[in-house]
Amino acid sequence: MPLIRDDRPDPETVSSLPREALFDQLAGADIGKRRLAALALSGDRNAAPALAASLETELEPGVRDALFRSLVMIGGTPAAKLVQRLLRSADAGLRGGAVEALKRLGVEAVPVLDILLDDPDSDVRLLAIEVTRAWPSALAMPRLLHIIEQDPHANVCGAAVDVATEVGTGDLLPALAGLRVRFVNDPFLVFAIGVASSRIDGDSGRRGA
Amino acid sequence: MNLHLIPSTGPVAPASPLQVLVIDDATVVRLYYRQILEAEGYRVYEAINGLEGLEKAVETPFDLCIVDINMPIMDGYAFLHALRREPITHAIPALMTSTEASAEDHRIALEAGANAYLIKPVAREALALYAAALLGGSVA
Amino acid sequence: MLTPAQRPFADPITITEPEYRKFCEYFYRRTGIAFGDSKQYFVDKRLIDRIQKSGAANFESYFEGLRRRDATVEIEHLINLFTVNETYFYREVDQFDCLVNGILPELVADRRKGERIRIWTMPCSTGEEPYSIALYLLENWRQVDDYEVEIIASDIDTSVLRAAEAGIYDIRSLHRLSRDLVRRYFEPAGPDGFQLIDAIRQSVRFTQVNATDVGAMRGYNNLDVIFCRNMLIYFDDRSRQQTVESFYDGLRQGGFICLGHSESMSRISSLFAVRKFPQAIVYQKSGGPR
Repeated sequence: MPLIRDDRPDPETVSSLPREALFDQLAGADIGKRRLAALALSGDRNAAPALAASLETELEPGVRDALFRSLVMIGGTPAAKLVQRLLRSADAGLRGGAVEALKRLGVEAVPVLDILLDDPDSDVRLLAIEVTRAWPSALAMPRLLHIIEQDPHANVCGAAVDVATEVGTGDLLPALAGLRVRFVNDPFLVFAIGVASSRIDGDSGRRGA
Repeated sequence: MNLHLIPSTGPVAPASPLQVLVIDDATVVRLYYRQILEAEGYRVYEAINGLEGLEKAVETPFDLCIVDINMPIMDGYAFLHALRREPITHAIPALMTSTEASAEDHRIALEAGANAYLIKPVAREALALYAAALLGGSVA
Repeated sequence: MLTPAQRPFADPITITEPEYRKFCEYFYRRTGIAFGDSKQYFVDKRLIDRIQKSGAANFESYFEGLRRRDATVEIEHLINLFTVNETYFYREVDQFDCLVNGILPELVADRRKGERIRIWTMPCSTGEEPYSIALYLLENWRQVDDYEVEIIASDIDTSVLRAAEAGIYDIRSLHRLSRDLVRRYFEPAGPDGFQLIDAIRQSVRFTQVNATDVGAMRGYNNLDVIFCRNMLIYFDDRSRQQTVESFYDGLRQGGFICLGHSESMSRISSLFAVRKFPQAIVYQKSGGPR
């Protein structure tokens, strides 16, 4: 029983609306109703494409938040496929929201990320590698290795090195040394590789003792 | 160099170190800038995204903000908009960094409120030079 | 995993400088709390203690355990070690000052006299915080009689709620209050106790609620100010976001939320705007772009 009289549209009423009505509300003028509609669609796998499409045009932070949240709650690789499209958005806020949503989608997003890590667009690869920060070391390491060993782009490698600083294990050290040779003239990468190697070495330096 | 400055009218000799806020979600980037800026004698503060940056900027009178674009919670553009809207912080010079190299991106950054724009990865000399210019001159 | 007792010949756990930095960077990224270089000894000692208690063999395995999603209990231990967590009257009083001199003047600007102002503190623990708000308003807000101030205080733990309703405190809880305040608002209760007078105890409504229970949280709405201090920092990402979204939905447009002084929305959500007042930084649910 609610403690306090509620002036807003009633979430219970909203969530019992049929999907078509919710889609209408999602495209309506009322911000509060759009947010409620987005939240109400969170259990509905078939709503995922509509939620993702709304994100492309929604500007209100509260509604964007609800749209991402519902996509994450729906979960699964299909949701990840829809979310990853936003990594190419011209809107930095949408790109960031997509990265965070992909992190929260967990292992179900892995197949999608593996494709993105080979995307021709270096900015997409850069955002994709950031998602691996949320993964256990065992899952992240092969992807970091893949980038560090062969990605041609300094900023993409830099992103991988930053994640490696937190997530990397001793197996990365030879690849990092190789990266340092590849980018010997890039002061940022040389510095970053030094930091990552020191963080990783700090653990393994003692293992032999 | 493409900065929006007017020349300062006299020598600037601050009594205490100039304070620079570095906003980037990559640890190694913040460490890299810190190293360069501290070598120049500046005092360096860090934030991991635009919202943390804003929280720090309204509390501490920074002389310069260096802000990246892609960050969670609040990106660089949103940070600049908020910085310029807030009376306490609206005049703080801001150097935006980005992986995007087009003239269009540069223009968008300046329109959002950046005073200058650098492409990543940033070279040591470029960072030191841009910081000095933004800290030494009055900003248009 | 073997306990320390089962590994009598194991090397003592040490933390190298790079490991210290790695931990600091991770902890900063997660919580926003930063340790200076001078804190290394302080941090290492407590970290080693946690590593031993968790049964991990070394820093490396402990750290990997931290990074797992279900490590919230361990994170909670760490945060407890590194933050001061006592409760007493007028703790973080700057925020109450902000309430009176910054937040309330804005809120009542477009409100008629006699209208309700709804303040929610959660978690309320044993009640020091909501009662502090009541006292502070009575003592410092000139317009306190012009509006109907409703203070709701909630916690997941029914035993602390019962204690809060009883309103009996020891002298330590009152150390920030002037003698005059204590004299006027408390009565002796037993050898060491002080009980709040009826009028204050009745000015707060206590309820039990689980912050991550979306349905239950929906019962709290049309809120003007939320105090949520030193709770979110303990939650994992999902629970933090969930709770903050409930707060967002519960607040009126233009409503405010105050977090603990070592907490920040920057680690949680973009839903709120930063508002800087002379007394404190708080967050606001703003209606669209300003």
